[in-house]
Amino acid sequence: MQEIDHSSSGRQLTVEQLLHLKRLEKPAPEFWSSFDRDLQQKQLKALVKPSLWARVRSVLFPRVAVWAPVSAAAGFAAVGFFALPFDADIDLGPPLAHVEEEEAGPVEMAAAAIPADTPSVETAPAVTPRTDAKFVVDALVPDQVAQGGFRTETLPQTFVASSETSAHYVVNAFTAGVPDHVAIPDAVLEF
Amino acid sequence: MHLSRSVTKTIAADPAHARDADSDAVIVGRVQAGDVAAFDGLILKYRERLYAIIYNLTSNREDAADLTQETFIKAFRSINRFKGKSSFFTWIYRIAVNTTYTYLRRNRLRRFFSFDHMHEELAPSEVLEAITAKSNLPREGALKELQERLNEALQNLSLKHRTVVVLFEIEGMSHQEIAEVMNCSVGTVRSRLHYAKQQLQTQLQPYLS
Repeated sequence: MQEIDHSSSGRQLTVEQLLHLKRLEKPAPEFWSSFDRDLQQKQLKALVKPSLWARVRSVLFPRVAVWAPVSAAAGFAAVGFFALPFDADIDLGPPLAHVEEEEAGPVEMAAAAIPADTPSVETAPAVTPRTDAKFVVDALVPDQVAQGGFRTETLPQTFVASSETSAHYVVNAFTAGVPDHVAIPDAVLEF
Repeated sequence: MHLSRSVTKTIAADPAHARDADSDAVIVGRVQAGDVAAFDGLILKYRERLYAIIYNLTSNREDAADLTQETFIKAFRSINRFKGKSSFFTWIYRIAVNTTYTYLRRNRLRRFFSFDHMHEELAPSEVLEAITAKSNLPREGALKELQERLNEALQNLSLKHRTVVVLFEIEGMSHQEIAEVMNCSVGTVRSRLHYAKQQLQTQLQPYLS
């Protein structure tokens, strides 16, 4: 009976057998817990962090609203330029009407109706007199339905502006238990 | 990359593949519809396979973990651009391979090994005996030595040759699936595999003779 040769020279391995051993290289089971945790953190960061294009755009074009009409106009001009034959007489139509910008006037504040005997502090006169204005006061009141929440409620008190040219700036105060707004003419802020 | 009809038919003809692709398509549809939590199902399904591919391409477990996570984040960010022309599995494998390529090209000079544990208890006994017999070291030492030589030999291959070997011999993918992932023809996959095995044969000669 022929003896079985167990010597090492009889065992021939193949490249494939050796490569298949690479399948046995695996991380420990606990590796996946930290993997999932890290991935979740990276996903959250990815959601917060803007994409590369968004970052580039914010640097190059900080005010998109300013650039958008400029770039759109440039685009239309470029298309128009190439669409028209070069030797054609180009009629651009009537010139656009000159638009003048108005200077913004000073901020106007309507004067609160205060008692006649209350000393008033004179301030700079308003540029244009206001005839009539009503300010309706909003307030936050507890919401009876949603516990702990608040809702806005329009209160019936209004301040009616006078037709006087002077403006009085009055500080309102909220005092505990007093639903009305109390005007404190002495505490006038001068602007 | 546009998937050719013949490849589509071949993949679709395998019932297991078709079922798998269908279940992925359902989950992808849900994610695209806004159910972002559904993406977790895809992560659970593919994380080990993607990790294994990237680990075998990089021979570094820390890099493999980072790159696998990066792959999922990229896939999640661009999920709405996935139109279903290829299977989700092919799409995400392609992202993984390209992400790894980019990383390896940028870090060509700063490379070092960091191995996962080799579970020798799962190895065929005749292979273990042959390895131990060829080495002067005890079994554990012999396997460690082999692990180093094997990873070195793989790293000495070019990226593309290493990829075909990893995807075919280690991951068990078909030539057609590899061609899809690598965006090349089946013939190119075969020729790269042949050349890569020749190179590995030379480098691993002490273990083969």
